[in-house]
Amino acid sequence: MSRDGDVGEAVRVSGLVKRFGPRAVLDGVDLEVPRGQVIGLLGLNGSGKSTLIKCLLGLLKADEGSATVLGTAAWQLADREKARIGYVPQEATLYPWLTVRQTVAYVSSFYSRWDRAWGEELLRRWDLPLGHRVGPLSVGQKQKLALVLALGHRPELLILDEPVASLDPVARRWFLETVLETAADGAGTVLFSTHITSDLERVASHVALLREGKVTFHDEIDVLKDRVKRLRIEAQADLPADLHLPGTLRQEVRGRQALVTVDGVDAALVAGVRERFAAEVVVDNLNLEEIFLELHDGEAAAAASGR
Amino acid sequence: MIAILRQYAMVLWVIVSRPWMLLMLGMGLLYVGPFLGAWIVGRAVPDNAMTPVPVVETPSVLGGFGVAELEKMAREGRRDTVTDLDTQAVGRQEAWGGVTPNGRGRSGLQLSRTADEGPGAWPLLDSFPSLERLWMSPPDMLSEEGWRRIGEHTALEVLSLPNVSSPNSVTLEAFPAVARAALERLPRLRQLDLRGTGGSFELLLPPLPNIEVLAIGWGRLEENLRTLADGSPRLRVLAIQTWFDIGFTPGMIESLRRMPNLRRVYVAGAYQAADEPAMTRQVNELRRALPGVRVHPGTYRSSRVWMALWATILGAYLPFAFWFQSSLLLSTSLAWMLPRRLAPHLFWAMAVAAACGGFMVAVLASAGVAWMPALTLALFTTMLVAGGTVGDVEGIAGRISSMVPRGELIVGLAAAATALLAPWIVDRWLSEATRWLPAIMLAAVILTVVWKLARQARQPRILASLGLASPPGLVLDVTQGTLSQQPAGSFANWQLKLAERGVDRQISRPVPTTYAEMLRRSQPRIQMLLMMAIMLVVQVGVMWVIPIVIARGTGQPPPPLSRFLPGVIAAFAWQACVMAIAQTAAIWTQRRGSLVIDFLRPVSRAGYWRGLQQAIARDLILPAVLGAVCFGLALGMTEKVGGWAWVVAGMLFVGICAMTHALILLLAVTRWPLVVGTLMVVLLVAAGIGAAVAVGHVLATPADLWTALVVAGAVLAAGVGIRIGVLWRLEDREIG
Repeated sequence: MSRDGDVGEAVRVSGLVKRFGPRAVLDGVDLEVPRGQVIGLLGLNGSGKSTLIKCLLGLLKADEGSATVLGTAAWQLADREKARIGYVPQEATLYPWLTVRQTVAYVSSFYSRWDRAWGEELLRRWDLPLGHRVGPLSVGQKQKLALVLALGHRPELLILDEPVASLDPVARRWFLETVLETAADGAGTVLFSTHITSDLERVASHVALLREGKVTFHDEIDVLKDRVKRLRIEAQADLPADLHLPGTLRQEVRGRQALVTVDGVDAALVAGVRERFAAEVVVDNLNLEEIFLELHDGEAAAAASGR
Repeated sequence: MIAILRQYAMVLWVIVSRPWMLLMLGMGLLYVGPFLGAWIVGRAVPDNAMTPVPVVETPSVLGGFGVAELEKMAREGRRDTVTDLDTQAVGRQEAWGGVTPNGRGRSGLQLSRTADEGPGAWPLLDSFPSLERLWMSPPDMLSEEGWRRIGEHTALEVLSLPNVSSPNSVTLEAFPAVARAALERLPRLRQLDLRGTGGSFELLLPPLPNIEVLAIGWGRLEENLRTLADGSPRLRVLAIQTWFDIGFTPGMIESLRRMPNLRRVYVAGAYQAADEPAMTRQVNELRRALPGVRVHPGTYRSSRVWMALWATILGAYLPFAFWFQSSLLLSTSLAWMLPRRLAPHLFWAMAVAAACGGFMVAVLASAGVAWMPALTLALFTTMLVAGGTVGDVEGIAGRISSMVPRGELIVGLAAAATALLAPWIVDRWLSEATRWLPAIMLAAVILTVVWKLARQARQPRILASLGLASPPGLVLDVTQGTLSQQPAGSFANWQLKLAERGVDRQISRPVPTTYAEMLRRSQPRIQMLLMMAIMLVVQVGVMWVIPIVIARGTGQPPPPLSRFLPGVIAAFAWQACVMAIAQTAAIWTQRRGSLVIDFLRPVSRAGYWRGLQQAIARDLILPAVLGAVCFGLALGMTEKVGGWAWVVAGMLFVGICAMTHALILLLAVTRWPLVVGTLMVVLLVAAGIGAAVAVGHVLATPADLWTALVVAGAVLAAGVGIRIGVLWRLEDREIG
């Protein structure tokens, strides 16, 4: 339940289609993000992450399907809902002629629930020069300031579009801790897109993989890790070029040895391989980055081989 | 409450603290002086004189060009082929008892009158036996002899003699007979203007069988109208110069009703602003009496029109700056997520618009403008740029969004062109002589403003759908581009599409032969040229169409475009030059980031700087050509230009070119683009003012050559000085 007593998902997307000209950037996205969840959006460049976020913020109108945010249709987001959302765009648009202090004062004046002490704590934590103009700040400093502006009113829903790409390691660490703090009491929901999967693994409980305008996987990160594993196979005789294992994402066969990444590994599958090829099979756990790469490289390889 | 006040104060601070805003406000001060001057003059004229509405054809050529043409024809012995004569083209500084050379350096003209011509005698007319159209105006005079000579030109079809007086030596009593006798000998006369012509007060018009357009005084009006009703069946336009306390008699009305082709009547009952109510009364009286005829005021207040023009320019400036800035602040994704963002951001722009609009209404009302047009003008001017910096992408909303600014541009240009070419039409609107037009325009302006304000709220959505991070032209940070994640093929703007194709073409060229060529890649030059072409077409088109519309409305043939074309092209060239410089500066400012990368290409430090200079210089060829056209036309439109004028123009041209090139080079590499940009605007505006002063001096008062040379020298010295300063130890400059 939210601070305002709303119930239900923080974000609910159903059959969302968004086209630019003839091309569907989002092609039937389904996604539900319960309140209090930290979810990462993963996808290649151009997979539709930013477009999905803009649809959630009511900046882009869906051609088909629906999107609701904090119980309100995204296209109809009103001031009341906006006061409960924090957003950091990929490219922070700040006013270069203002100082950091003026920028914070300007933005905070729009929020009745702006937590001044929290805002100052964030500014101090990220070592932002209050008296300096925003224009000459580095890209990373601007990104930090954008994060302060998005977090200062303690939003119920924090939407971040690749927020950490420009941050230094220290700032990234502070950022991740702040995200955890936001979600700690169960009232804050965080949805963020990123390419840095290690960060995602540290803070996100769930992940949604976006590929060619569709959510191809959405579940807990641990479930994904349990599902996708790599089999190292060493047989007595030469292996066939294609092992025909169900759920194969990528396979690499060299004589009697093979590396196969499979979506949906279980004990039966492993036993079957051992028996079928008279082989030793070792199951490797993969981290999120490896899974992400296998998912995309595997499909690319499959497409290249005509499978 | 305190929180709300704080919020509004913060928004105001964010709007006004931008250095760009301060620059705009500073430049706005340049307008204050001329406006106050016009206002004071407008208010200071004691009688607020009214100007007669011209009804007969206007002269076909300008005075200056006409003289040259006449001189040429005189030299070639072809005077007898001249059909049109505007006496303004002939030396005319006539004094009592003789003729003195005029003050415009034309004393050597073969066509100047000589001392043996008696005042107002005009034996010169004998030199032009084929005259068909003759225009005279004060200080020309006509004696009995002059009238006799006019009467000898039996081929005359157009005769315009408004306010041409008579020498004291001729008795007023003699004139009616002399003038009547002359007119009787002009059977082909189609158009005749005798308003205020000396001695015509008691003139009894002869039968004028072919007359179509006639302007006469109030003397013997009843008899003259009866004569016209009986013997001038082709009469369609009639201007009557009445007196404010004169009413139309039943006999006059009856005669007017008997004129079969009468379409338009101008009633001039006002010579001062105070007489206007009386003229309105007379107009309304005739409107009621002649339902099938258009009746309009016969005089207008030019001061009112000029006041409206100045008030519009001044009134637009401050609101423009505030709307522009509010638009920027409301367009970003940051602003989109702020709750309750609209009211405080729109408040200040609307407050400034309301204050300026109120000031405009007060000024316009004091100049005699009626309330409804004053309100329309104020609303149109102060809300001109309210919202709509980028239109919707598609659908009916997209079409309306693209039509509204174009409609405004065309209406604005048409209004300005009408104010210049036919101020009496604008004055009729300003004085609410026609009520329906101000009402329609007010309604249109209100609808437009509402539409634009609605668009204003949607700007972030529109920009997001276009894949833009901030509106084109409203770049927040000079180091940050405007395009972001543009979805492929989603450009709705055909100009951007063309520009993109242009960029593609340039990028796909073979390896450039010089480093300068490489630096010039990806410049959207096509867009710039396209914009100029559109500007030229729109401006010339408006200047072409408006005279035709005016002519249709007034029943006169349109004045030839050749009269206005040089001025239009000069104005266009000036605007286009400024825009081309601004765009070139903007392009190189936005390329600052890539210039750092370019420095890492295989090029020597000297080669880099040489290439950069060359690339910028090539980009400035277009504005330089446009600037040269400006100077050339400014001098070319003048009748006689001495060699010194070209020297002054050359000094100014070189100075401004050197200054522009050096400042853009500096802008492309400096760490302080805002400071250099501000400096550039200030210096170029100062140089522009200097150029106007110098050229003005050398043309208007050739004797004051030194002033022109000093000003031009200062501009040249500043330009060369800045260039030397920028290029000094150029290779030691840091990059990035």
